[in-house]
Amino acid sequence: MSHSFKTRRQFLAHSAYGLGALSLTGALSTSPVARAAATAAIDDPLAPKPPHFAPKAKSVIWLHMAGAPSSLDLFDYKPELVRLHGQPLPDSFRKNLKTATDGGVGALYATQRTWKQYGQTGAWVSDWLPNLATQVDSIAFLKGCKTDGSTHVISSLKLHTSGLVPGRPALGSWVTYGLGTANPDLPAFVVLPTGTGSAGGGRGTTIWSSGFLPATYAGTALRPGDSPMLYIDRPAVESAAEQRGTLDLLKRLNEHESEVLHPGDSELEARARSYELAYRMQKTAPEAVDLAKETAATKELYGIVDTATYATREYATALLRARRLVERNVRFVHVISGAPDNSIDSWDAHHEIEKNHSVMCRQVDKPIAGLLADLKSRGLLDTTLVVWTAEFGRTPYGQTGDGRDHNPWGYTSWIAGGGIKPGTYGATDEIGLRAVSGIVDTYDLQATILHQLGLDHRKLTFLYQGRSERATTVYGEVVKEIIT
Amino acid sequence: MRIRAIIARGGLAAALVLLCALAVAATNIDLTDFDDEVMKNMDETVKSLDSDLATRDAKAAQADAGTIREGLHWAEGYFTRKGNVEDAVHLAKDGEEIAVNIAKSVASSDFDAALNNYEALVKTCRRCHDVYKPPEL
Repeated sequence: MSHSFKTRRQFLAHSAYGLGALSLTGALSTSPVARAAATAAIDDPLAPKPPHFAPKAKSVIWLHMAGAPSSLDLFDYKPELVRLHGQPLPDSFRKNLKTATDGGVGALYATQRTWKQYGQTGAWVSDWLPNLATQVDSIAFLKGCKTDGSTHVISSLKLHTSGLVPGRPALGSWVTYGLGTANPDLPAFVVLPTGTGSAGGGRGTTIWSSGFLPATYAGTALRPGDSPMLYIDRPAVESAAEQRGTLDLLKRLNEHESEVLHPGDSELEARARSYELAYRMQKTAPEAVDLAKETAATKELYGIVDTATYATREYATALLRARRLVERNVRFVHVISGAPDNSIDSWDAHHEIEKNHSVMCRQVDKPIAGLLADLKSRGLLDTTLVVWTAEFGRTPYGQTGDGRDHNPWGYTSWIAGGGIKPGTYGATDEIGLRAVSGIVDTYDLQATILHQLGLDHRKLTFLYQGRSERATTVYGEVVKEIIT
Repeated sequence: MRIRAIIARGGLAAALVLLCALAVAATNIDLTDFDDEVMKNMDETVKSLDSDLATRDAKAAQADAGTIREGLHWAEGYFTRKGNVEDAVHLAKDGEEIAVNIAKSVASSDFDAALNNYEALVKTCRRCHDVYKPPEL
């Protein structure tokens, strides 16, 4: 087997990097899409770009359940698991089971919930999500999801960047790169972290990083609470004219640096653009995230009430902000669910799953149901993809007596709106351990979302170090069965 | 009635456990002597081939398809020697054939066909990895 290509590739990669002209190499590509995108990027990397085909959706609200909820206690009802409760995992299910965490394989652990089927689609939902249950007819449940890895950080990276190590762009960055911004006064890719604790889902900038794409495509994180952006206001001691003059001088200096001293430095270009964006955002951003003009009925719909300790308040605020952002044509809003208080860390219920999921479900149930209902009533759900997902699911076998371990082999995600057909697609086996039909890997989920936005995951490419890269790496298949 | 139900349920569970035991992993195979470098090299080459096809670099695509075919041929031999893992042998053989087809398509400048074959190749890779690749920690 020849290893010589590595040297050749490395030479080409270093040459391209040495030129410092990633956009230019894209422009020289023979791919029309890469060429068009790169040409637009030379002028303004955030300029709107045409999709590959007519899109069904304009925006994405990505609900990341950090820490990994148990599908088996929320959506994936398994009577057989209830029947086998307390027994060892049957050997047939152990076949080729590659357990990796140190929790071991405990006895099968049945859900303690009560279950009902809801809506025209007859979707199963447990009593932990009574409000979301009223919205099932808008939802496509993907019950055959699977992924790689069994630790939060690795699987969270894969979910968001399709890579197992840091350094690749998040899906929101690819979307922004592919389509540009639809509102130059707001970031195209916004991240709304919520809650306390470290959130086991690998929370951190690596999952909303632009990776090897220019830094201008990175997600912009807003703080939870009443002050989402620090120092957004112009200082009282500075006049508007003074501020504009300062920014103009800074712009000229940065342009000189960028053109003469550091050509092709995307971080410098992104920094320069960020000053201008921040300037425009002084007017647009506070209004975009200010809920003062929302009616009491809308706030009630999401579960926002005046009691600070109320479990849904912070998450609900984030989701209402998400709606306001997509209303203002923000392309991608990534909402991360952390724990509402210090009683638990995240969805990561290795023990006391009853306590853990009671808290987490109470936090997200009403806000998410409210978001779906609100988007629908405003006619926004048709063009907005709402995606519920996590880095993996949880096992049907128990851990520590009252918890569940990580399960990358079979779990449920769901998508609503944006040209997605409601219903149930795929399934896990009799006990909910592995996906057995309608299997959807994270690559497929990403490919499907890009498709709904009018982007072909095979054609959305970026030339990096001599290699044509794409969002889903070498994998990904659009789940055509769930598309209207 | 209740006793009968309990006996029936118990019998069913016992039968299930027995069936499971019978079905057990003839596939519990020791892969510690597998040459990881070969697979890492192939993994890189598969990514490289994706790029070659996207940029329509026929020469590099031919070379990479050849490298992948060689790697899969090695894997086929490895799993054949291991024995009792026919699925892995078949998947390796399928992959070799697809790699050859990619090279042929590229030779005739039919990049669309090459891309279709490429998608079949990565699916074959994943089918094998799902069973035999060690978990990512």
